[in-house]
Amino acid sequence: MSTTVQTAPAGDQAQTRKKSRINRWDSPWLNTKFLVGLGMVLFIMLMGPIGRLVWSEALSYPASSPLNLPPPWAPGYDQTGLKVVTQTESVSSAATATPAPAASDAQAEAPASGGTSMTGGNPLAKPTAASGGQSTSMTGGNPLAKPTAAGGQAASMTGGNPLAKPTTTAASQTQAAPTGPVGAAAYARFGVPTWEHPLGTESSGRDMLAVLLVGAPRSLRVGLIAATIGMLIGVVLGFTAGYMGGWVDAVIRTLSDAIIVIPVLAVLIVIGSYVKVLQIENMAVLLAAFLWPAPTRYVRAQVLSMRERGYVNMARISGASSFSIMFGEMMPNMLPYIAASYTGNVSAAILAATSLEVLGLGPTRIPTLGMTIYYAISAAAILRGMWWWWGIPIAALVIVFSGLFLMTIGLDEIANPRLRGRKKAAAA
Amino acid sequence: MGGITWNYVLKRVGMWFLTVWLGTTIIFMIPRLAPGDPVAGVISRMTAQSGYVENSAQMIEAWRARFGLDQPLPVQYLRYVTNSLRFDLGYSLANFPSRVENMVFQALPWTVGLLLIATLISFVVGNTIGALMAWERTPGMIRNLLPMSLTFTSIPFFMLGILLIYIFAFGLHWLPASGSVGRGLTQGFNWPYVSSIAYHAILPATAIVIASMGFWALGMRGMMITTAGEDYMILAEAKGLRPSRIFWLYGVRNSILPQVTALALGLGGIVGGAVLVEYIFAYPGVGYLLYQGIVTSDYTLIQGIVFMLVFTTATLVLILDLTYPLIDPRITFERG
Repeated sequence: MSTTVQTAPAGDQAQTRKKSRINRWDSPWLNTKFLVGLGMVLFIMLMGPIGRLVWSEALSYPASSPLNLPPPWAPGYDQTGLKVVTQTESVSSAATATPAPAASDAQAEAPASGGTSMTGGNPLAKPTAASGGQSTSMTGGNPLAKPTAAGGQAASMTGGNPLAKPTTTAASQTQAAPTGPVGAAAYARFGVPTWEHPLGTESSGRDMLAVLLVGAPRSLRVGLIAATIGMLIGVVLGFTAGYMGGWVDAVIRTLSDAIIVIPVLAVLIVIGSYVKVLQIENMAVLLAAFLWPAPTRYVRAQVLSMRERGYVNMARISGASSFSIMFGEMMPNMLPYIAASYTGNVSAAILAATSLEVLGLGPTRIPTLGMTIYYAISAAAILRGMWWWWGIPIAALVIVFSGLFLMTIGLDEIANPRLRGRKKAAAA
Repeated sequence: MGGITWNYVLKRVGMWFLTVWLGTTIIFMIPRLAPGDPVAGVISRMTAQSGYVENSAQMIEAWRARFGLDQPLPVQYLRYVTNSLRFDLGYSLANFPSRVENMVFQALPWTVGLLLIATLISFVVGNTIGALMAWERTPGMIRNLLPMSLTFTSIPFFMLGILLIYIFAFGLHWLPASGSVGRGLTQGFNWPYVSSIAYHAILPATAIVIASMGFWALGMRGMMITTAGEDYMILAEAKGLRPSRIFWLYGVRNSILPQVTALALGLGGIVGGAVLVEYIFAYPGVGYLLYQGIVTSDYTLIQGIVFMLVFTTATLVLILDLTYPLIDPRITFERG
């Protein structure tokens, strides 16, 4: 039973499916996984051109926005910006992190030096601390507000004091658990979140939304260019190897077997370290040099299995040239396979390019997603609790990778009806 | 017994040699093709730091002679290849008296240990889950893991690493965020030292295991679905064999073969991914050393490490290739 399915050409199965179609919407190309994946990738791809209409690209430059703003929609950051600070060490880092003229003030220094000896600022000072305290750290506003801010932090520092509790803002209660001092300290030095920066800003004053709009399509473009070039080389070599056979096949196969083993990223790192700043197009071409073996192997295996099929023999007997047999007869039959291999390659290229950027070897002037992660890591954003700095580029990349992966699986199912049929049988 | 023919072994060793040679050649070519002169670059950096360097022209000449850069290209190339194969990787540019091979060999056990354990765990667990997902008798709970494994497959190692640091090191304070071993412990095979290593390795290993598990699970699931329809499976069931026996010895045994091939082909990617995981976790393996080389523009170190990575990957693939006939006796007849 299964052997007959295996030997039957994919084209025949598509024919039988076509006959049993219910309506014109019952096409194998309307695969849910494929379409969802395509949607995810298109979403990221169109983000740049569409986002440019509503959002200023110039905000992706350093120092174009206030620093360290959390996203306004994120829970746990109240609209006034100041967080509950619960423990000694956290206050010390918060106090040192706000370089205001009043920093030398005895009252501002006090919590840093001896938190436990503090009697706790008067609760009356709290509301002013909550409203004005953070604005000083952000805009460098009036120094008069500074001591009260420190007092307010000291008051909340006593933590367990029930009197202090109600005066602190309610939204921050859940996040600032007494056991998480570092987190609380980090929150205390962020700016006031505003809707002018919907995804927050990072420590060199880039607006995260602008970075995302500029960077995400760029990362995708590297992958598309690299995979397209690699695919073209791979398809041509794979067809040549599979169709010609002999020593040509041996050379191509051996070479692709050898190159597929070499860690791409490692070699790219050597190149990147010499060239220092790799431009996106150069990076894509370099990546393509390592992406062709996978499609070559794939196409070669497919050609070998198709070479002796009836319709190929038929074409050969009727005097078709090798070229037209390859690209007229075989190519259409393996289009879904090639497409699946292509999406896989796009994602591999994006991963390699992003990895290079994360190591600081990519383009540095224009923000890319990998470069943003690199800056976030080197600025210790993880341990400062600035999750939006690294989280947003990672989220965008995960959408891209998941989308491409879903497309690959969907295309596999389109190419191989067995996977589709079996799945239903397995589910039942 | 799966007979390993000499022909097969020779072919595999030839492949290994070709891979290492290709890698070495690429590493040799890159600096010669790249714009600028690394030695002059080092001198100009020294100039930028100290204002003026005396006899910089003579220094460049001296360094050239030291590295053999005044020789014709083929001679340089031959020397480079033979030196590399003898693990003579030269002096580090950034920390001069120390030799690259010593630095690499100090870091290599960390990387190999972390990678081997993480890859083994993810391979075994991932394949088991994948096989169970395609098995008719498994409870629905495991079958529902499919969307989860789909999600995790597409997340690269290092991104998962960042997430894990944020949750378990920064948020919950359960595990250390960086390093490989606690301070102030005596080296050696004693309990505190070993347990500290294990404690520090949990997060990086988890990042690799979770991120690569989905890949194995999905591949295995596809293979198992195919295998489950084979005639010998029906016969095995008709004979009344125990389900566990059918599952492991008939199903998994026959589905695992392409997975081993995939492992051999994917090793390069796994090694590359591990470089970033080590960088994120400041784990003192080869990847972190490589990052330090990038930061300090230590070209000999970078080249040495990349050579070692190519070498190690090729060797692991060779080992896999040589053990492959033991699990699939057909292979020597097909390729050999």
